[in-house]
Amino acid sequence: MSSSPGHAVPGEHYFVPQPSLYPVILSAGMFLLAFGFIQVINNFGPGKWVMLGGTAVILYVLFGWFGRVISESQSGAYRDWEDRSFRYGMIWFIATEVMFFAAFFGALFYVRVISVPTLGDMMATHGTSLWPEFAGTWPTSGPKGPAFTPMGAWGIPALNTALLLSSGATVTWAHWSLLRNRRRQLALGLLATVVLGSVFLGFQAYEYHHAYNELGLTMGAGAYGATFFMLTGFHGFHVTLGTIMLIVILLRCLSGHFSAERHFAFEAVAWYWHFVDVVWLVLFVFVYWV
Amino acid sequence: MNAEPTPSAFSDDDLRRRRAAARRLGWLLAAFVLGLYLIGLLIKR
Amino acid sequence: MSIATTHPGGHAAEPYQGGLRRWLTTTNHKDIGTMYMMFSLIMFFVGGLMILAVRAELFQPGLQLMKPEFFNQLIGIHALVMIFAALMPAATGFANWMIPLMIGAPDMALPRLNNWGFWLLPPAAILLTLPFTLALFGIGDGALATGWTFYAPLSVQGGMGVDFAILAVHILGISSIMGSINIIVTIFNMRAPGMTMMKLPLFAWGWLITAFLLIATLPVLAGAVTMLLTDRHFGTHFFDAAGGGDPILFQHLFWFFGHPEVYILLLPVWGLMPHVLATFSRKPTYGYKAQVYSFIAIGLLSVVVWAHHFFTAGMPVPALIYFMFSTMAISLPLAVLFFCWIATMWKGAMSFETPMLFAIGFIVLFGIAGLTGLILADVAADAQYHHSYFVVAHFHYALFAGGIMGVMTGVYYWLPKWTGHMYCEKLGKLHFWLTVFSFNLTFIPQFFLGLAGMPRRIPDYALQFAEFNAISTVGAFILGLSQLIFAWNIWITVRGGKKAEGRVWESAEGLEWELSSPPPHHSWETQPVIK
Ligand code: HEM
Ligand SMILES: [Cu+2]
Repeated sequence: MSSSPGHAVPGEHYFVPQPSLYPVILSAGMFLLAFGFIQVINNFGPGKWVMLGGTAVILYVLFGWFGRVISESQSGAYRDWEDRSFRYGMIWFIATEVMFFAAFFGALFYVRVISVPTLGDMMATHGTSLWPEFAGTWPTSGPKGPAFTPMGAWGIPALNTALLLSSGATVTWAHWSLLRNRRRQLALGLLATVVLGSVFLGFQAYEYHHAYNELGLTMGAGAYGATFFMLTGFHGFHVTLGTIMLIVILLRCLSGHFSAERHFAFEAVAWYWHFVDVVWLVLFVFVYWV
Repeated sequence: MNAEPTPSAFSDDDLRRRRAAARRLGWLLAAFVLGLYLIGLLIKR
Repeated sequence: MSIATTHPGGHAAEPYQGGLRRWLTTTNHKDIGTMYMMFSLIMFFVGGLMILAVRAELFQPGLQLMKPEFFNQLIGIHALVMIFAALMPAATGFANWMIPLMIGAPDMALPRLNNWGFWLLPPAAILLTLPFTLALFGIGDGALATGWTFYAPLSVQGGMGVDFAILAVHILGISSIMGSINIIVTIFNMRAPGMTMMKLPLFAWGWLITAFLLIATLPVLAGAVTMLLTDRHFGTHFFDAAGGGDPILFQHLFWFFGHPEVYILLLPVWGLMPHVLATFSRKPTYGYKAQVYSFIAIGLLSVVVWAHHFFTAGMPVPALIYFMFSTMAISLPLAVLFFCWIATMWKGAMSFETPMLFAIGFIVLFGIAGLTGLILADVAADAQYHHSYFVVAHFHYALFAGGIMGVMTGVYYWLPKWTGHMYCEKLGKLHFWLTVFSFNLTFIPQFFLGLAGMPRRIPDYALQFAEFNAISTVGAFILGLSQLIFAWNIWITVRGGKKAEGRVWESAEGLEWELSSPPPHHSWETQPVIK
């Protein structure tokens, strides 16, 4: 547990930012978004408009706050000491994301290994069951769920796996180019990553459409539908965020930001992208394949 | 900066007495707990 | 540990923001710490008022004051407010104020994020309590009525108060996670040169483990309540057997967070105890390393014992046995902590200022929490005691005597450092004795009630439980009123009072005491060097 203590240069001053209104405004925006959302799902009040207002406020803050950070970064306010704070921060943030997905994977394993088989074995183990004819095999939408066709692994999902794996390679190519100061290749690598991510999302949208309209596979399709859409849905949401972040980084690269020595934002987004990639691999194995 | 330590509110004698009292109380409590334990062993349900 | 330089350097040019704007925009760890502490104190009274209404209803058998539905709402929101809006913010407030001072850092590592972490709390508190108000206007049927545990299927069927609570928990979770990330980064990256991890103050160690637990478990709670939300509104069947799901799945997910949560609430307190005990025993802390390793062991064990909260829900016998023994195993490192606290006092020249009284009260009463926890961890015994008032008494010894009284220990210990004034010792002692007396008056009878079979979370009860409930209610009202002394004492200390020295307690050790009281707005801008 011994990490290198303190900072490198004794007497150095840490960058403590000026007072800022952004955090409070962001909190207010999130309150509006949450409150509006509750109104929408419970059918009272002007929910949609409250949500819209909240989203606008959040977007305003995202532009303003990140803009401020970028200009601080460009003005050279951050040195190694601050940089290390950002790195540690991003690593532990990704750790929280890992645990967020772990909750849904936990639910998937629980229904597959425990609750569905138990329900199927009720006649054998207890001699009684609410649903004696329920077999307890996976995939299932449960004893009372609608009929559906599960999603196969080797069509679009396999293609998507290939896409995401290549995008992991292209973002690494971009990183190497940045380290060697080859700006054109850097931009190309990022662009390729953005394109691959977007195609992935397009395929996933098509897959959802297919599931709802032809397979009868909906969120309401019992344990299978619930875990399928929750896991792939949150993953897709993260790919969307990652793609937006990559676009921002690409634009920053094009305007000459980042150097071979100092490019925390680039690396943070790359880490995030790899994380999304790894989640997909686990997802591909346990949701689509086995 | 006024970082000088507060002058001690207790005389050396006082501190010595407190140390002795703490030790006495410690033994007393230990004996009490041991007693409870022994009584617990002896009670038959 | 000795310090080479103790001068903070020149102040950064920061336009001083007066009035409200200062608090809305601040990036200063002391300001943010103060806001956390004030918020916590206010919510402590909000949650307290709710539960006094509950105790009033329980004063006699029968329904006197409120409908059962409203009673159910009060107990659930009381718990959520106390845990998420009173105890956790108090611990984060301590961290904000003290960790930078203790480790010689100029501020928290991510100051703007720090401000955001605080300002997420008021919106969440509003979301938690708003349904009460909306119900007055005929919108919805009030707040979450499932108890703080959100168990499905009740929470799937409940009214929109559940949605408010789910969204509130999301926002509270984001706040805590941002706070935790900040604390981890601060401890890893902002320590004064020469302060190795094994010289880190125990308070910072306790918080470090807390922060890791938050990062590991809060996202799982977020996931669980998200599944609840989709079960309620978007047609999924996570917690519905008819769709192949399982209500017990919710209990697993909830307690995977919920059990570590009790250590999240207590580790900061266990961290501050040795500082207080050492100061007033005029001896160095006993067993620094043993305490660090115990923190780590408790942190690791706490994520693998969750199912002891629902032994009676049904699980295979090997699972029962595993969860029973792993739970009991936690009491080993916990016993090491108790031993270290007591050994720190052993042969010390003790004096009994208010923080020391609270620390000793904490040790004795929290010990009762641990011992009754062992009883509950026994599967066979728990079949009898589960969901009874015995559990209520157990976790109030843990959370009030362990958590809240631990926080009070810290407040009395550090308030002079924060305000530059000594609190009133007479009022402090009065507060302590009234609190200890009325706390026990409130909760000892609840052990008896539970043993006799009174279930928890009911507004009415059989006649045989009348006397103990009446006693408990009297105790609760004394307990509630005594806290006004606490608030008053804080108020007068903030406003004025005897000037406090930099080293408030003459035998206190650590960097925080090298600074004036109150410390300058910017401290340790030039880091001290630890030799
Ligand atoms: C040796 C230590 C401990 C053991 C063995 C232990 C064991 C248990 C067990 C088995 C239960 C479940 C009882 C039931 O519902 O039937 C329980 C409940 C509870 N414990 Fe502990 N406990 C310990 C320490 C603590 C601590 C330190 C805290 C808090 C800081 C705590 C807070 C709680 C709470 C809040 C509940 C009830 C939760 C609810 O149902 O709403 N416990 N404890
Ligand atoms: Cu527990």
